[in-house]
Amino acid sequence: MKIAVASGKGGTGKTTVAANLALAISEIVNTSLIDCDVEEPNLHIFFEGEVKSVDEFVKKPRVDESICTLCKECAEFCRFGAISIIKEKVLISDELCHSCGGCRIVCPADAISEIDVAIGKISEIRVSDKLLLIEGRLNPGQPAGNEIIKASKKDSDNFDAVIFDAPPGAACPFIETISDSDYCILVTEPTPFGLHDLKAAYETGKVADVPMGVVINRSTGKDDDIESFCFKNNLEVLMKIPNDLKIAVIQNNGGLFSVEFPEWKKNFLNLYEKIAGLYGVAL
Amino acid sequence: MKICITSKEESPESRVEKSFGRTPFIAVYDTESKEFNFIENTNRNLAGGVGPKTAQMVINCGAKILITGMIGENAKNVIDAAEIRIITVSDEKTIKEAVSDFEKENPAN
Repeated sequence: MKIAVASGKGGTGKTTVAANLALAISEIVNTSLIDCDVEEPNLHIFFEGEVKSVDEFVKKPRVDESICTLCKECAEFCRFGAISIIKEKVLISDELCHSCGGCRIVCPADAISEIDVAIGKISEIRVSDKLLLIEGRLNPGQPAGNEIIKASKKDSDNFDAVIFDAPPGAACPFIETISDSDYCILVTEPTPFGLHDLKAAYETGKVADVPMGVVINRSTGKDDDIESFCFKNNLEVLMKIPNDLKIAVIQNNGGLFSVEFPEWKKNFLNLYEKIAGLYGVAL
Repeated sequence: MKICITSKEESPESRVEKSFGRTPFIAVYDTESKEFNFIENTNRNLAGGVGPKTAQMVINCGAKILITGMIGENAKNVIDAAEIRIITVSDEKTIKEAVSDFEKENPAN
């Protein structure tokens, strides 16, 4: 079963929920925890283990100017403006290119080839026998992390349970992360910003057709706005994590509060069982 | 010589459009014939890559000078590579005023 943990708003506790949930599940099944927040991956702060990293490459076009007829077909095709025809030469802006390969296909002179360019790294951290952390990391200056997210997820069918820690926001990287998930946990906080961005993530998740439920983090007990939004939209509030200084202190020291408080390990296990039960997945 | 000016409307009396990439029109002024031509910017409503695509239109016009309000980095890289001089002006000016100011300041042209 693949569960994405997302939020819309940054800083609501996605990573906290993902880390504690994955650790709890790994007590019972073979689990992979995947950091899809490739612009700022931070799950590694909570876990130690042997690290193995490989570079991830994408294709970028290059033009053979001795064959190019300057016909502009490639520039007109590219919807990202990554190719410009300037007098007698072709200007390629790698940072705008999304590696779709279309320019190579449309070129009538067959003047375009592709080279491999490293855009980031995929690291595996073996936390325990049953828990593998996979981290995608995009190189600074690269425009789009989707290829890194895809590469981070490529072995996820080999595990009984997979937790994706989604990037904040509700745009392309978020959609890429949740697109092949069985379920999406939306973590929010009882603030106007938390609610605003929960709505954005929920609307996007609906389009991606992924079933969703909500975890309210830093709950003060006055979560009426969030709860009424969830009620109206048939979203189950799966769990509430209280606004508790003890939890914040553990978190800020790079610890996991479900390790310090065993009742929370049980709560996270229950959360998994609830979601798995909803979809008839055997544990 | 040709000068491209980003323009809000299809007229020399129109004000200069402030943003380069999403300008509704490009005014093309010929310093010899003193005539204006207007091209509609069909890229203006695209989701992305608008700056470089509008820059490609300016290059295709054969302009040596671009007058606009402000221009983003991606578009500027393309305009610079084509060795087109960029002049930024206030969008309070009309297309006519922007051109006549340019001609006063650069009498050699």
